[in-house]
Amino acid sequence: MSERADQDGIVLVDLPAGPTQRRTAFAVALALLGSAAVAAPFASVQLRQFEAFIPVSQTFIFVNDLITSVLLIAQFVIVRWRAILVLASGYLFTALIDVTQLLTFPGTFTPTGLLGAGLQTTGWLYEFWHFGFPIAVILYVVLRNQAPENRVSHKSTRTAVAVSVAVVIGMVLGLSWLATAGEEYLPKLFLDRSRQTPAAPFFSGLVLLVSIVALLMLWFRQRSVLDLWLMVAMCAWSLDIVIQTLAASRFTLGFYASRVYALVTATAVLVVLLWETMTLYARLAVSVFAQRRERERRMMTMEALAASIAHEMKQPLTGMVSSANAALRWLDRPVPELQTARASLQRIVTDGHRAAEVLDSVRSLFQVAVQEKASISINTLILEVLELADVQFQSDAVVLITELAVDLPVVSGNKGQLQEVILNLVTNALEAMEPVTDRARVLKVSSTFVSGQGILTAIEDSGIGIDPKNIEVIFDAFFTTKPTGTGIGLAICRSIIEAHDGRLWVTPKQSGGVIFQFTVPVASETTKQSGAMAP
Amino acid sequence: MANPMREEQPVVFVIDDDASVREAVIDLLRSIGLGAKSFGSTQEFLQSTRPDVPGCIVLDVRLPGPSGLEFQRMLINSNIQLPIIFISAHGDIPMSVRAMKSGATEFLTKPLHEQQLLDAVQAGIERDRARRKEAKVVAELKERFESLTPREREVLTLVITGRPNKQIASQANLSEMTVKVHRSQVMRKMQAKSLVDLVRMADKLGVPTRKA
Repeated sequence: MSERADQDGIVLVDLPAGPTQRRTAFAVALALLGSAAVAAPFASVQLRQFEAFIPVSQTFIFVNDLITSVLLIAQFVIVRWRAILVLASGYLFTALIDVTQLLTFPGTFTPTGLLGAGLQTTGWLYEFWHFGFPIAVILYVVLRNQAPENRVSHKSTRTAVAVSVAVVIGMVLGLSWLATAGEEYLPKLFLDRSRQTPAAPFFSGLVLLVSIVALLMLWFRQRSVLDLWLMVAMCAWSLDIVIQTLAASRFTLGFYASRVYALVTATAVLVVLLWETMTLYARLAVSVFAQRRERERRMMTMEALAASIAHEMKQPLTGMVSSANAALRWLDRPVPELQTARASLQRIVTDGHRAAEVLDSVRSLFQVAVQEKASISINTLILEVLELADVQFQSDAVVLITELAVDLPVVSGNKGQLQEVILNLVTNALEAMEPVTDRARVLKVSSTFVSGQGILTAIEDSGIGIDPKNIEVIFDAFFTTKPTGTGIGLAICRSIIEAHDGRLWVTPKQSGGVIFQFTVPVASETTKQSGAMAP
Repeated sequence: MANPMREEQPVVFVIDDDASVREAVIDLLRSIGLGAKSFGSTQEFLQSTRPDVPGCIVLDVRLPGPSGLEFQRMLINSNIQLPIIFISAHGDIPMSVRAMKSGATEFLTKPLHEQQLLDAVQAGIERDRARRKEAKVVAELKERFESLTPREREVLTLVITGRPNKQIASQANLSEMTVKVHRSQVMRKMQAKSLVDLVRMADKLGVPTRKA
């Protein structure tokens, strides 16, 4: 299911990269490289000391990284891929450590920096910052390359986010403490406020190595738009380190240039995420309109169909009623005309059969033929449907309880049709719970084996329930209580289940809400029965 | 006019493309002693030779070929004035409104209610009978009017304005005596019992009254 959803191109963090996207990304990367090549020879040229440049650029980076992180977390809540959470954490780490680095930057707030910063503090925070992000990217690629099923379970999504945020904050605090209080135990990176020690390039080289590894890993993965723009970000990141190292001291051309690359890193993925969000939104809007039109069209078809069925049925009925009236009159005569009355009655018989034929042809029109039977696990079907409705559960704040019996025998049936039934029942349950505000919205889906009947699936909701006077007719075609319903959903569900030799029924609950239940015989039984019924 | 009941035995024409509906309706009409003929299409009806008796048409609104409403227009154009009772298995309101506006006697929905159908058919036949009677009267009057001389016709047009003979004489450039003679001739030929009777006849014939 997840694979299919991916291919449909609706998961933002997994949109496939098209040729235009690729070209744009490579052009940006080339421009970055070109600018770096131009700037490199002049990296150590000392420029004017703009104190304001530091807080402005760092704030910019902080805000962008924070927004990117929030967007990625929102995506994680939807798709629940660990890889996305790791990447979001990476961005959050970058945002936070960027702030601490700004606070400790000498000369920005106080001559030596806040938080009791020493001479080496800022330098080390820079190294941690530039080390942490590529590590997150590497983890992202590793996790992403694993099976896409590597997800956090539905229930622990929030916990996972909370834990990740806590860990990131902890790490930032720990590293900040290490860089301030433990400054003297760390190797020296700066001789004074602006000049680096000869050892500094060694650490920068290490950080660069990690960044290049991340870049290469992305290069070999390179599937989604996100991968592509992460590559651009990592490219800028590496150039940031290279130029910074070449610059060797603060407020040189290289120093300023490296900040520009840092800004590019912080912006690339954000812009792409926003861009793709808007594209998806546009696509969504189009498809919603299309769906609406489709529904209207279907409603009109239904209306026309109902009218033509009514017409076809009324013809033989007209014949029958008029013939019966005639027969009565022939018999009521002073001298009953038995022969003529007989003929009238005979016509009624013929018309009765004709009416039945009309109904048969209507049924065959709607007939749900069980095509392409296969062995199906009801539990898998249930899980797939729940996966589909997952986003709805979250937005409606519905608590989902599943009680699926293990080791259920397989049933023989049509996968698409049975899926349609479950989806229809789940959707109905969600719609029934929408107006409920005074109690929890609980959807319970269970499966059990009942000997003699096969597999029993129950879909239980805590919704508004069904009016007792309607409970008899809800399975009738053209009956609906929804303003936009066609009234055909449950009728089709029942036809499908009956075509599978099963049963579908509904029971109201004492506490409000209803339970829809259906049975499907297990494979061996079904084969026997349908074998006998096959045309 | 007192006893042509045998020739005047009314006939109901049932036009429906559905054979079983057709037969059942015919059967029902015959069971109450009405003459009935059935047709599968409007074409068939138009091509048939119909007895010259009072009657009405029971017509399904939705037929293959020209629709019931179109057929109604065709009848009006070809001067067939049989009242039409529409029957429909759809019975939608706009259609019945259109049918009634263009002069349908009744619009019934299928399945047909016996009493409604029979009442409508009876009413239709009565209407046709009255129309035929009226048409016959007019035809006879026309014949009488044709027998008048041009002079007598001129006097008639003046007489029905209610003017005294003297005035008529001066207007027609005749002597009062001549007017009197013509007037009595007109009354005799037209079989009018009184001046009022003559005025009514002239009205039915559509004779223009001459202005002074």
